[in-house]
Amino acid sequence: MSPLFRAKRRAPRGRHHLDPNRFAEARPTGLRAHPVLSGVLIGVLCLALGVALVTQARRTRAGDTLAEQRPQDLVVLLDGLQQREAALRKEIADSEETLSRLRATGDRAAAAREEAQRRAAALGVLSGTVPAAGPGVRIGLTDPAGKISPEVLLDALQELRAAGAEAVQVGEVRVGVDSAFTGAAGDVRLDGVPLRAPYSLLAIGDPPTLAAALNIPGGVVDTVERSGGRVELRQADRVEISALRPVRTHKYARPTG
Amino acid sequence: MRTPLLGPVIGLLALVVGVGLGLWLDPTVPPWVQPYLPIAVVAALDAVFGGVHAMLDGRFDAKVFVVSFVSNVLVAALIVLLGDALGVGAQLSTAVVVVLGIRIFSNAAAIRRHLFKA
Amino acid sequence: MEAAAPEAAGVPAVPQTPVVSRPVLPPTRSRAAESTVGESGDARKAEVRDTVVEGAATVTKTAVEDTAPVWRETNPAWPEPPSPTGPPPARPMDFAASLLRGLFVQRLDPAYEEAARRRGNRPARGPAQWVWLVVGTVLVGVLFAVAALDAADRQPGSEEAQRSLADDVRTARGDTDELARRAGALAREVDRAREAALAGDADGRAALDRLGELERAAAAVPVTGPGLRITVEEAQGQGGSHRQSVLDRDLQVLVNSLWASGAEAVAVGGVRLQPRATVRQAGGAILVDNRPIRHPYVLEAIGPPEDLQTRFVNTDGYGRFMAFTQLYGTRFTVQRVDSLHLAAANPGQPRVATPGSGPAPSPSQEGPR
Repeated sequence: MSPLFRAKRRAPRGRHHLDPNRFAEARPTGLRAHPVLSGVLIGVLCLALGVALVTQARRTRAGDTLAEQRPQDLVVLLDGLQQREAALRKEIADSEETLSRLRATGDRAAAAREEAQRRAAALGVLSGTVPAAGPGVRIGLTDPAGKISPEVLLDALQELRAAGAEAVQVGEVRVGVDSAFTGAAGDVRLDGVPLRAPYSLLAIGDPPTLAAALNIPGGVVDTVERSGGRVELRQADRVEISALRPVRTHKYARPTG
Repeated sequence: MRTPLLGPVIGLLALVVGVGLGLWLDPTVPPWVQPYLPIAVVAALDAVFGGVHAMLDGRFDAKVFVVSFVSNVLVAALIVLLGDALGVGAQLSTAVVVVLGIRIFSNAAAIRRHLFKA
Repeated sequence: MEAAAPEAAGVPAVPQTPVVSRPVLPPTRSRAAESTVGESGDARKAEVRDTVVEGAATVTKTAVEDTAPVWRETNPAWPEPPSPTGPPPARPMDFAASLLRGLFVQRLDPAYEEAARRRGNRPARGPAQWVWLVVGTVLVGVLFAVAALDAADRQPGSEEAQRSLADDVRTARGDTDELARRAGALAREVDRAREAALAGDADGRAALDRLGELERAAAAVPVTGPGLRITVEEAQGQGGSHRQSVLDRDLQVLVNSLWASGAEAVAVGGVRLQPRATVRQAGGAILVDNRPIRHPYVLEAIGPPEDLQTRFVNTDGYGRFMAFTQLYGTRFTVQRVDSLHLAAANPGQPRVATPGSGPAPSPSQEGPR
């Protein structure tokens, strides 16, 4: 490598007088005696450089960002994936059981009806078209200063959902997939229905998990307390959610498949 | 001007003995020292490269080597300690590594010129 | 900063000494982190003194002739001396340049030069030399070994763990994708079996209709229709990476705005939103319904196209992202699309909630795990 460099650098050097010790070689020796060989070497090195450049550029662009994530973030990612994996495994087991029941000899229609009913009930609970009951939390948010914005309540809903809430009611409104908070602080609306402070939230799910989700630092409890309100959170063995959402018929989203 | 080969050989042997000693003793490093170890190693590398350069130049002085090594390590650690106290520990470690790294490089380049005449 | 100190300090003290005429010492040198604290000061003083003497001795030689050899000696890689025809000006403006030069000049640690000069340029000899050498190298060796052991001890806590975690995430991602495919296939099979069993009589068909309605409401059915496609692209940061100025809650607000504007179905990053889905953040990654999505974030919403857009541009979410385009250079585009295809979500099963407010839990209830 270095003889090559020196060969290329000789010209500018020549302008200054040379150190006799280091530049004693008068006749070309080594690689300089073989212009073809040195040319090939230069070519190979340039080729390697090009390949390395392209490889690295592609790697950067492909952006498998996992390698750059902090371990604690990876743990969160892994946790989420594991939750999903567990849910999927359970679902597969359920489906297999259902399938075997549907295919069993006997009154298939009755079995299918029963199964359809069960699925309808499950979907009804999740989408909010039937009442729901189960363990959960009752939350009251006071807002004396009228400073709680729709976003705070949206945040609370998201935290509850992330903590596994299966059914949520805010005020008199049952929350569904397309629920939206609108309005402004002091005049918050959920799906167009005005909510009044103190806001009451009911959520069904694992009570300690739901409570912990709201209590994380910088979370809902913190935010509400910073805006002068208070959060009253009670875990209960049984929370009943009676508000219902009408089944919304879609006009534009047509089912496919 | 050339140093006899004895010097480098003894140095190398002592280095091996030192590595062996460290591995054998396996001292427990107190946690507050740990952040400074990598910096200390870089500083030590600087001293070593400087020493080899001096040896090849025929100007090696073992006392200067030891003093520069010890002081390099201490000063580097001190700078990082100061940085930690001021809340710019990471930046100052980077600064120390950059400066020492450049010195290591230039010493390595000088050594290369001595050894390979290139 | 220290590298320029000799020059900066030397200029007022010995203004007459032309920098170029130092035969051994180059114009600048690196001084950062060298020598003992106590010694470096002395060494510097001594050097300045030496420079004066030697400079005076060599001034008789032609300064210009000397320049080039000194430069090549100290740094052959340097393309050109700063000024071959005259001494480099020692103005304060050269501070940065001389700092850089000082850093790159390949010269011996001044302490060695100084020691050699004190000995009259003869190699150091004597038993003390061997003692110092052995002590020093043993110390270096011990330090290397201890640092290596320490690093090996700590490695599992950092990089190793990071790598194995990343591998775990990759594996888990592959596993869940595979499981999701199996679950989807099974669900379709169940649907077919159910349909085959129920399509025979009116009762069954009514039950099927009702189930289909609920499945659509719970986003369990793929849908197609007109709507909006919203793309959020973060500004380019350093090194080709993207700055992260958009957080999970910003995307949540955006989704909320889409629902508020009348969207019937929404997908974020290709993940259809179902009643329990959330947009969360895990460090640099955004998770939608526990699935990591890729940047740039694409939100798709099906709804009355005209109406959806007019209402959407009046929402908080739209306003917030328009502000982001100005604050952070985020790219935010809203596009009307005639036909969007949104995949089915999997709302799963409630685990603790039971339908109705009746006291008796239904037999299908699953206790919490």
